Amino acid sequence: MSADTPSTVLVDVRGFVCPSSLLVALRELNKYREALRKDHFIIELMVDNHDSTNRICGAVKSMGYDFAVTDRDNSYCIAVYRARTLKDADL
Amino acid sequence: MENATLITLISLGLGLLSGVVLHRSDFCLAGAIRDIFLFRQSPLFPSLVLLITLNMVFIEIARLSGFLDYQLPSSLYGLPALTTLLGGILFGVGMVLAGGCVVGVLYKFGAGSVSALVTILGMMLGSIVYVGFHPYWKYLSDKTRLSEAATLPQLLVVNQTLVLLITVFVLSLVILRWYRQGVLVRPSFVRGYLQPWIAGVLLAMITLVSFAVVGMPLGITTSYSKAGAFIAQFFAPVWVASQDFLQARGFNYYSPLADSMLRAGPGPYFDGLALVQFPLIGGIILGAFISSVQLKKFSVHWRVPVIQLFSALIGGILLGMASRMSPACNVWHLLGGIPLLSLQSLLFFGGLFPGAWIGTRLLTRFVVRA
Repeated sequence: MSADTPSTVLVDVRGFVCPSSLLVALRELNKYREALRKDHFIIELMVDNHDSTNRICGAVKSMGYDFAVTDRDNSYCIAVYRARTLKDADL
Repeated sequence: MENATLITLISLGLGLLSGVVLHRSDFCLAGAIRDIFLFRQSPLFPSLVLLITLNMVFIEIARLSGFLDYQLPSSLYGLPALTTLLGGILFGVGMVLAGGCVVGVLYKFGAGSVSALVTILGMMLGSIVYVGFHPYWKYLSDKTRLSEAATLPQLLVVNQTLVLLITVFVLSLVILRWYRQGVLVRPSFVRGYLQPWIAGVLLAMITLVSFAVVGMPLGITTSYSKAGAFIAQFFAPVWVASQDFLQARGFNYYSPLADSMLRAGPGPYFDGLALVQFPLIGGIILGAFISSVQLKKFSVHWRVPVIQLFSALIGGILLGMASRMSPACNVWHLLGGIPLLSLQSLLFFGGLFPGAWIGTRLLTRFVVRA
């Protein structure tokens, strides 16, 4: 792995009972907040319902991070990062 | 019975439509109240208030125009007792632990949720547990009856339309404020999301059609009792036969399509309630399934933490019990009873809040730490 390759943490909350998916996602975002402030760090959240996806994105936005939602088969993937991270890695 | 097939098809249709609407909007009635305590703000609560207000307007207009005629007390909404409040509290705890109410878990199950299935099984079990203490609960209910009036206007001896006009006026001001603050419209980052306020409008229309065509508001929990009773009948037929609660057919309602009074009960037999509720339940599950497949979001995940499945089961048992103690569920009370200003429904609604608070404390202490 080169120095520019961002490290990724995967958090899978698919199938979780509401509102555990949202609470666990927020907890993980909080846990990795130091790492997220630095470059080259991405949290990928796997979510399977609309409401949690929208609310996680809303929370991420208000925390000042950047994010991208990918509509995958059977789930949504929310990548949370700082814009510089992806720019450097040329993703 | 006349038009039995038509009644079944209409109920199935209402269920299908509800299933799609609920899934697309993630309109979780449990979450709407829970989030007030969990996050100090509830994104869905304004849409729930909009739904109840519209139901008040729709049902009262239908009543004034002679289209609907509901005289309370009836089998639909009886006399208020403290037991209804207690049932509401227990229901509030259950819906938070289960992560959805009696209808919410149906659309979640339709989209593949394993925990929702566990809750559904829990609700059947809870309904049967209730049978064991029904005589005592009925005694307590009779002893704690609060009034001989079934509705708020009857209690205050004032005109029903006047009470509704004032209530709708006040609620409209609150909704207008939310609209100006921009909280009615939710930010969305996903495809196919139906705004909860639109879902609220559609669900109000579905409730009105249900009242007018089927003869009662949307309701499903007696069918959980029936399903539980069918299973109990298989294992313990003698016990089932000996339980008055399962043998009684005290629920009577006028079915416009059948043009007659239909008798029903919670026991293991097909009757006027099964005719409506079983297709409604099937419709909601099927509607959510079709919606999730169409969005490519149908998924079954077995790797659910055990503590969450346990919470879903306990929540389901509480929901099943509380639905019979109240003696109905949140959809029945909130969407049907509150617009009719039923005191029973208002008590139940009042109980949901402390219940949801207790449920939230239990959830964040034992199930998932925020």
